[in-house]
Amino acid sequence: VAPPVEAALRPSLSTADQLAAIAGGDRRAFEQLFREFGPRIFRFAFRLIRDREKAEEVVNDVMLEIWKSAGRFSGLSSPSTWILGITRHRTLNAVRGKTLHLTPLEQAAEIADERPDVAAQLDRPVIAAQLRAALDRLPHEQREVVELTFVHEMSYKEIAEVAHCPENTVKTRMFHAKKKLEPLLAALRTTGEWQ
Amino acid sequence: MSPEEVRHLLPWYAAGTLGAEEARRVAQELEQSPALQRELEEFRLLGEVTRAPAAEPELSPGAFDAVLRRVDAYEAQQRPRAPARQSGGFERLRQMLADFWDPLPAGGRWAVAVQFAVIVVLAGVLSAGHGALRSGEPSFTTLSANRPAGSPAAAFSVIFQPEATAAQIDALLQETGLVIVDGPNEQQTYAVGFARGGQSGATPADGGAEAALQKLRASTAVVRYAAPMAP
Repeated sequence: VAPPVEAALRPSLSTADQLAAIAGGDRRAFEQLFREFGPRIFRFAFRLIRDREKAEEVVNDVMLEIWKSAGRFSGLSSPSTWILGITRHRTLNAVRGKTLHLTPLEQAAEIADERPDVAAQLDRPVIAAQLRAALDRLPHEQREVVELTFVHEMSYKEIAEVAHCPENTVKTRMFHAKKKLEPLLAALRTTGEWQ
Repeated sequence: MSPEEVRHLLPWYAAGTLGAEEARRVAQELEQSPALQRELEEFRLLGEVTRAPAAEPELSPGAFDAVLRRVDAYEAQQRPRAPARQSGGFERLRQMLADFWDPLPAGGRWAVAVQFAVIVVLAGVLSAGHGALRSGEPSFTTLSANRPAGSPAAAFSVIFQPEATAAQIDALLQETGLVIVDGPNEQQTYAVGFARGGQSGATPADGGAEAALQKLRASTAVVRYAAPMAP
């Protein structure tokens, strides 16, 4: 979205200030917040549901919810935790009752540990591609912990708030995800510098 | 902290999102454990692969317009709701009164009518006294409601700091030549406008609007947020 000149010249507000301004009906602050969070919301939703149209609907739903509820943001959590909490809720609502790319946790045992192809063991980009594919096959509870940790740079405490689960559950989900990906990660580690 | 606990913190150590104390303890354990160092390297690789741009679609260029259309539809839906509810409410009230009134005998109707007249007279006396106390002040309504004719036009929407005192707010408004026109709404937002014949003499026309807005924004101890009202 190309920024209008006026919005580009406006000094950027912190996300908390943007939310306060949005509560007052400020559409320019709303646009600033969209520029910052729209792509993140989309990426989070798309990676979970693998459907572009539905992911865009989630972005719509989340932004409307922000418009309606910005005044209720209390500051007890960080703004990004609050926004991603809404995003997660809306994403799961969007796919409720549908399988799509949500591998349920109880089926995790049926997925074999990911191992690199023998022929690709020395080919780093190929192993990385396999690892990305393996990430997509993780149960969604584990995948979202990996995503929130490394893409959205959230602490395990913030992830526990977003996912509404105890902190130890967050750590356990990460542990199981790592265990499943371990052969690929070990292969990647032994092939040298990551490009 | 046990080595196992440290192991469970490695992903967030790799991502740089641990608190200082936890990060210090993990670093300590890492120094003496090659196994933990290997795990850390694997988590760093996992982070790099997860963050690497994948062949995924991006948000459409028109996505924000679509969001605004939803917001406009929501706002439009909100506006006509009040009168619709009001007329439905009047209809229900009229029906309730009829249900109460019709079965009454003639003597009972007289008694009820006299009591109602007394209530109306008392309400009139009370509101006259209240009006006398508040004479000269603008009447307050919600931001979404129509303002009374003759009240100043709203120029800015303002959210005051929760800890700001009434005296501080009053002093700032006097200094900027502003008065509260409306509010607060649900989000504690007030509409403020230029007082007619205010002491500062500032008006929107002579550039006073920009100066008043700057002054509001600079008064961070009193004002949390100030912006021009949308036309």
